[in-house]
Amino acid sequence: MATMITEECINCGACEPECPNTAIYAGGAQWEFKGAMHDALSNDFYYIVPEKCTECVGHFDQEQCAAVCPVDCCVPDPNHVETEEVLFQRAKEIHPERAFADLAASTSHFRK
Amino acid sequence: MRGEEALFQLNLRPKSAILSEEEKFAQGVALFNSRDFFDCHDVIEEIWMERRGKDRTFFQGIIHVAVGFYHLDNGNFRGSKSQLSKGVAKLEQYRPAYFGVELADFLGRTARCLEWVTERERGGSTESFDAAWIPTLEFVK
Repeated sequence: MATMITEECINCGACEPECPNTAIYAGGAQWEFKGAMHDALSNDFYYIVPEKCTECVGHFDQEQCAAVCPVDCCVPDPNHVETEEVLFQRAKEIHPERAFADLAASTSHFRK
Repeated sequence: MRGEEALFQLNLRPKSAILSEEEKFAQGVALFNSRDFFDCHDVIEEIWMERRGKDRTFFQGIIHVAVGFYHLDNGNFRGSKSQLSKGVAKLEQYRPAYFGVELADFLGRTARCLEWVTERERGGSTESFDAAWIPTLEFVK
């Protein structure tokens, strides 16, 4: 994962419904993955679950959370730099029911 | 009763949804000036979401400044510094006024606040913040 929500977050919630992987949760809310529940990663503001974020690779040409954030607080995480290949593989694992087409400029910000 | 009005009465849509863009902006300005910074950002965000092109950055700049003061109110100096910086940077291109509001003085006073927040965030300032430094948005005649 390489998208994070900074402490500038104002908790408006605009990002949460936009994530195709349901990787975004409100502060204090438990997060779910593969049937298991986990403690919140942040209690103060919205957060992105690293294991579920694909930077929208496989879905859109830009991170949807960043696109709708009015305060630009969904930003690349310099401590988690991942390749397009890794992110695309994660997208396939998160959505086994979906047949992903080969990546293109419309489905990967790496190709814009 | 109009559909939108009915939805508002049922508390299913925010009242600002039935206002024109100019009315929403005026509402946002009033909220900023009464220091309801969170609600201000909420209203201006509705305009920002629908806009494209050059104007979009203007509305986002206002949002950044409002949110910057919201964070300042809550003692989040790092968040405040970042948001005020972004707001000033985005609004600079719209000096001296845009969409009917004066910006030269507004940005000057915002920069003064940003200066204090920066020092405070760095741990260097012991001077108390004076709320009178917070600017207001004024419509130009």
